[in-house]
Amino acid sequence: MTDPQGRKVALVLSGGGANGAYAVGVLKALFSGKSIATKNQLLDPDILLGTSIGSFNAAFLVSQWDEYGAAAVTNLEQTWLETLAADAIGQNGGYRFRFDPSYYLHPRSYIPNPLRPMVQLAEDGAFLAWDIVQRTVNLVTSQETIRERLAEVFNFPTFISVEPWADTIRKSINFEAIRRTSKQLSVVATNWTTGKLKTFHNHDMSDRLGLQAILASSAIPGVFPSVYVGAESYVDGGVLMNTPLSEAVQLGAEVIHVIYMDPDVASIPQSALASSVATSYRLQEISWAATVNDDIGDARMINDGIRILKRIETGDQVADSELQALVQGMSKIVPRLKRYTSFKPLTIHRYHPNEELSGGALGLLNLQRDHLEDLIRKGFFDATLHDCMEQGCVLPPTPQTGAAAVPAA
Amino acid sequence: MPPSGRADSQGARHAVVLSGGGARGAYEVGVLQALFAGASSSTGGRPLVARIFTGTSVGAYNATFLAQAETAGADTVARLKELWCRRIAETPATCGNGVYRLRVPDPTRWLDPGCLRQPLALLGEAGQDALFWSGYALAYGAQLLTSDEPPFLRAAETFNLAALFSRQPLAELVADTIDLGRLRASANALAVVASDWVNGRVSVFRKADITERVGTAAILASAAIPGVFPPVELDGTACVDGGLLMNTPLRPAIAEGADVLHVIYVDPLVSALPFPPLPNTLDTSSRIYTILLAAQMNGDLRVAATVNEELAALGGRPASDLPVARARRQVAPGGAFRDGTPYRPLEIHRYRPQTDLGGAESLLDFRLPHIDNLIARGYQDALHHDCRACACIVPAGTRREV
Repeated sequence: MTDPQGRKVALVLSGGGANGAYAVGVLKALFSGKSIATKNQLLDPDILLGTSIGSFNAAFLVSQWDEYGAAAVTNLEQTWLETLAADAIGQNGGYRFRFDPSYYLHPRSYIPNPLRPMVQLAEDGAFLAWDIVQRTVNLVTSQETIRERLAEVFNFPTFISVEPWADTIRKSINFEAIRRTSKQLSVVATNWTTGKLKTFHNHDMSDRLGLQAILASSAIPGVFPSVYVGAESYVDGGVLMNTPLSEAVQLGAEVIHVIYMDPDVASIPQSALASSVATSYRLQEISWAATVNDDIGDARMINDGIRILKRIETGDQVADSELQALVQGMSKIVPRLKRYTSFKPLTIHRYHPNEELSGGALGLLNLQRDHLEDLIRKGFFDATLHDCMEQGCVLPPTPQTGAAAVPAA
Repeated sequence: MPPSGRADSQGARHAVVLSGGGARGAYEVGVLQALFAGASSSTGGRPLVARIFTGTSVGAYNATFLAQAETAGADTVARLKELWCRRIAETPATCGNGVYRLRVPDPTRWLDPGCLRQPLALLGEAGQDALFWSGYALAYGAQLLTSDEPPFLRAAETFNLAALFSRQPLAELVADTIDLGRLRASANALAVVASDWVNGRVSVFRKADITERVGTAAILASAAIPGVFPPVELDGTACVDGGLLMNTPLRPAIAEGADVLHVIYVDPLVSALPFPPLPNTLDTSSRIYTILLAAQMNGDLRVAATVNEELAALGGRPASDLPVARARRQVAPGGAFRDGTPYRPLEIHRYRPQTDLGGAESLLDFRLPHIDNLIARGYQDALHHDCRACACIVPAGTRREV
C-alpha cells in the first residue's frame, strides 16, 4: 500500500473506445511520479476498476503488476501503439469491417501470407451468408407487421468483426496472473437481458471467462455484438456506468484516482443538422455526465458531514445550513457503516480532458497510430499539470482550515 | 376530507406525480380515475384533493391538463379520459393518432374513412411532406458534399430517424386542450420537467414559467424523445424529453411543498423486453433507451429513500449530538426542499403495473384497444392498491390509517 497514511487507493478507468489512449497517458504520469496529484510519488493502487476500454487497461496492469510493478504502464503503451493501433494497411487490433475493399486491394495484405485475405474473405462470406439466411427466414415467417419485419433486417454489427480485439486481449493479458495477484480488479458490464450492472472480480477471470468478461465490458451495443459470459448475455458497462466511481467507494477505497474521457456536455459541439448517430452519442454523454456528477456529489456530502460532525463533537456552534449538510452527509455514511466499521473522508482526484477529444461518436473507433500518440501525449500533459482547483477534485477536510476544499466542478 | 380544501383535515398537501412513457400515459388516466373517484384505499376511500401536479413527457401533458382545472376532480379526469379515447387514440373515426404522424406515403391513410373525410388535409400533408423531404435532401446533401470529414462519418451524418416523425398532431392537441388563461387563474401548483440538451441538465418549468414565459412549448419539449422528435427551443436552449434525466419528478413535487405524493409510473421492465434471437439495430437502440430510463427511475426513487435515510440519520444519532428540535425546523434534507420549507416526513404512494405493459414499441402504439386496455389496467391496479406490494413509503407514527 503506497499511501503514507495507510489509506486504500483505487484507480477508476472509464470507457471511451480509442480515447482510452488518453488514460494511458495519464497513467504514464501517475506511475512515473510525474504528477503533483500523488505528490510526485509512484502510484501503487490497491483496487483497479474499469469499464469498456478501461477494463482492458485495468486488467492489463493488474496482470503485469507482480512482475513489472509501475513499469507495466510502459508495456501498456507499447501494446496500444504496436498491437491496437492501425498498421500500414489500415488493420487495427480492435475491430475489422467485414469485406473492407481497401484491405483486399492493398498489395501488402498478401505479404507474408498470401492466403490470409482469402481465408478471411471466405470466413466473412460464410458469416454473412448464414446471417442473411436467418434474417430471410425471420422476414418470411415472422408474425409481426411488415414494417417491423423490415426494420429487423438491418443490423450494423453484422458488418463488424471483433476477432482482432479478442486476439489482442489473448495476446496481452495473462489471466492466471490476475487470479494470483493481491491487487483487486473489477470489470464492469451491463446485463443485456435484465439491464442490471454486473461486476467481474479476480476470481471470475478464468482464461475463458476473463476474455469474455473484457469483451463484454467493451461491447458497445449497436456497434459490436453482445457477448455471452457463462449463460448470460452482456454488453458494454458504459450503458449504465461508464465511470465505476461508486463501485470504488463501495469496495472501501479512500483515495480514488478517476480518469475519464468525457468533456462537459456543454462543450460537445452540436451540428446544425441533427443525425441519429450524433443524437444517440449526446444522449449517452448526458447520462454518463449525470452519473459521474451524482457520485462526486455523494462524496462531497460525506466529507462535509464528517467535517461538521467533528466540529459538533468539539463543542463548536454550527450554522443551520451546516446542520443541513450534516444530515445529508449522514444519510450517505449510514449505509456505508453497515458494511465497514469505520468511515474516513474521501479523496478523489479527477483527470479528464477540457475539450472534446475526437470528433463525436465515430472518434471512439479511430485507432490511427498518430491519433493515439496524440491522445497519450494529451493525457500525460494533463496529469503532470493536474490542478485540483480546475479539475474539481474532492479533498478531505484539512485540520488547519477545518473546511474541505471543495472547488466547484 | 373536505371536498374543496387546500389540504386534508390534517393539513397534508397532496401531489400527483406522473412519469413519462408515451402511450402508456393512458395507464395514468386509469389510476387517476380511481383516485379522484375515491375508489382507492390509498386515499382512505375518499376522493383525492390534490393541489400539486408534476409530470414528465406524456405525464407533463396529463399533469397540465389536470392543473388547469380550478379543482381537479372526477369530472376533470373524465374529460381527460374522453380526450385519450377520442382524440389521442387511433380509431376508425380519427385519422391516425393524436400525437405523431409518420412522414412517409402511407397507402392505408388514403383508404382510412377517418382521413377521407378531409381529403384536402390529406393532400396538404402530402405536399408538406414532399417539401420537407426535398429540404432534407438539399440540406443534408450539401453537408455530405462540403464536409471535410471522413466519408464513413459523412454518410452516417446524413441519416436522421427523427425526420420520419412529425409531432404536428401533438402540437395541435396541446394548443386545443390546454388553456393558459385558465391555468394562470387556478390555484394549483404545476411543474413540467425537460432536459437541457445543450448542457445536459434537468430543466424544471414551474407554473409561472409556463403561463408567463415559455408557454405550452414546455410540454412539447418534455415529450421530445431524443432521436424520435427534434428538440424544442426554450429560453434560448434546446430542450428534450425530461425522462432522460428525471422520468419521475418527485423532487419538484416535494419542492412545491407536498406531504403526500401519489406517484404513478409505467416503467417497462427491462428483463421483460423480448430478447430477439437475431439482434437488429432498432431493437438494440430501444433496449439501450429502456435500460437508461429504468436506471434513471431507480435514481428518482433513491431521492425518496434518501429522505428516509436522512430521517434515520437524524433519529439514529445520539440526540445530544444534534439539536433535533432546531433541526426539525430548519433542515432541508436531500437538497429536495427549497430553503425555508419546513422539514416534514413524506408519505409516498406508488402505483405501477405489476406486469410488463409490452415492449418498447408499445410506447408509440396509440391504437384504441391498447389505450382502452391500459386505462382499465390502471383503474384496476389503483382499486386494489396494496401498500405492501407497491412498497409505499409511510412515515413512522403515521397520521392516517392506510
